[in-house]
Amino acid sequence: MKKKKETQNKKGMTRREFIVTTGAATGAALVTASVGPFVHTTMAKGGTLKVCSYGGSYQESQRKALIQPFADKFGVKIIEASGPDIAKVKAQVDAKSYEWDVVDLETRHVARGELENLLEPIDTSVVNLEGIDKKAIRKAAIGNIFWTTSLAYNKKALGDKKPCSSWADFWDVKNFPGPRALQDQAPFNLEFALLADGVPMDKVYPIHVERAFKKMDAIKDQITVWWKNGAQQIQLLTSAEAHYASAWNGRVNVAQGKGVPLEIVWEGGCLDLDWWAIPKGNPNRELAMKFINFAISAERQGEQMQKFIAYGPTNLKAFNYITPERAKELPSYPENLKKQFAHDADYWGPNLAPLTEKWKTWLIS
Amino acid sequence: MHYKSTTSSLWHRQSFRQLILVIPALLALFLLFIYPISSILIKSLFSPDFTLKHYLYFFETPLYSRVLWITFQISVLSTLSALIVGYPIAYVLRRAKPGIRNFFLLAITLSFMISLLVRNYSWIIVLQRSGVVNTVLTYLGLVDSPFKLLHNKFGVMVGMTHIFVPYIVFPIYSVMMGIDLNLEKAAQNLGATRWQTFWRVSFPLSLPGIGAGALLVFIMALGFFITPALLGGRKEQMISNLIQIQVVDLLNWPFASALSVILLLATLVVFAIYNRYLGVERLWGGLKT
Repeated sequence: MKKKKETQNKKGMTRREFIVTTGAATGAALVTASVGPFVHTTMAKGGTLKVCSYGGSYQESQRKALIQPFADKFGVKIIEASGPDIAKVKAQVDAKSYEWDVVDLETRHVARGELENLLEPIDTSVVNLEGIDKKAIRKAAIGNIFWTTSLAYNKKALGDKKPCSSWADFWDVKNFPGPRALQDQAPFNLEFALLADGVPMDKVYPIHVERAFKKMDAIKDQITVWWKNGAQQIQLLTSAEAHYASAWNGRVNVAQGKGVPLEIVWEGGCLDLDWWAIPKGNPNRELAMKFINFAISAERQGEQMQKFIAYGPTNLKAFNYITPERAKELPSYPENLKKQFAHDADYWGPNLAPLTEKWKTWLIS
Repeated sequence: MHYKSTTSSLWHRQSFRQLILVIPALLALFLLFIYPISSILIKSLFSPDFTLKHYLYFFETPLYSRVLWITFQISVLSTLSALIVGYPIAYVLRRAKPGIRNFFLLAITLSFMISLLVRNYSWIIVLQRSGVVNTVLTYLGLVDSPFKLLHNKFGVMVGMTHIFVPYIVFPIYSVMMGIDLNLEKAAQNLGATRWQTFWRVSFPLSLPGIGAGALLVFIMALGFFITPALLGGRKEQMISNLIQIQVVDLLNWPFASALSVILLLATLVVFAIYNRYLGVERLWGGLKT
């Protein structure tokens, strides 16, 4: 980006010209924003769509497989942004000033957004749900990827030792020694604790809170690090600061690709989704729906997961575009799917607040 | 009470001109400080009718006051630790040759330009179990198993001290530059030992710098959370982290506002104590008379 601007400057654009052009562009953008819906009705083809996602290699995969092809096919200008969350959606909805038309959100934010009526209901006359896994369909959001938080380990750090193959093993520090890390939050961990305590996967929800915390007590002092963000989990595993950690499968896959000897245990993984959603009242929702419909198609998801990132397609027909070898690395590959349980957004929606307080209180005691 | 008309109009004109000059400053102050803080205050008290429930909730739920207490402890400790490291640096720089002094001042300034995250991750590399410190200690045979230097209070102290030292050094250094070194010579001439000279002459004179630096760092520390999150363990939880969870994940903005107001009030109390004993005007380098 920066480089591009420099070359433009070298081509003879003076600073003044640059400022004038930028100013004009900003003005045009403001005009476009204020007449919003008309632009798309009068110019049947084209228009502008503002998409926000989580950045990094993830958004890059979306750019290559979904965003750019959509822009090319329909002559739409797409403005990308990064760093979404439901608080920013609320700010936009409250102010009726929309920076984003389509936004990628994690489940807890979708659940919160639906509770507080911040998201547009999905228009199923535009968005074709054929082939979409039913776990990926909500009133006001459509899942765009399956991802998994699961047990991962550093093979090299373990040496000859037998690795954990379940959460019960992870809790068994005597037979499976080594430093461990978990994420500093209640969701996922309480579920993992119940699995380790022998609760079958389909009985995890509604969470038996007392039992889960009692099981967490058993491992509290064995956890060397409570990680806070995605970069940290991989850094911990890579440097063998933690031999075992809960981790996100996409990140583990990227690290494996770079030659780091990490392995993922699908058994007992928590299958979760990211979602496409539209901020409530957005005047550009028609085009936004059209984008979502395009982005969840089997062909687009197939290309995204085959070539660019190891998440699971929510459109099950996308596997027609994915090679069997690649499919085995993905969370929603049927063999992997069987070993996991699905994160229950509707349980966590109302329970996140009280359980987060309980979690933090437990952590500092 | 009666002014001559000429004087009066001149007075008016002058004050008017002065008013024009300060308007941008007042506007900035209003837009960037007064308006946001009042809207946070309002949000915490009205939802939509007047209520104190968010403040009551703070006192009813032990978590929040406990984390506020932890935040204060970490802030006090990191301020003290930054003082212990920063004061000798300022002291030596004051007495160093100009070339050496400028080199080190530049080095300290440069550290402002390195991203906080990079500095935190660098400490992870240095302090982790397989990190530089532990590798050297193990190699030399000084320890059998690696020290736990990270993901505990020690790690947080190291990281925060590193970030705060420049903020401590500059105020102390600038105050020291205003101290006449001849006073030390005079003290020694009158028979004071080096220690007495320091303790009874140099140190008291540098107090305003210590106060300014410590206050600045302490208030910054109260709002910190990235460093404790990355270098700390399970007990190093900061109040700003809880505020962020309320804002971003739970959308409970009224309660987040109440938490922010409480943190602000706590900060103001510290500020008031400082003002009572040291005087705020010293912050801008003036001496209290």
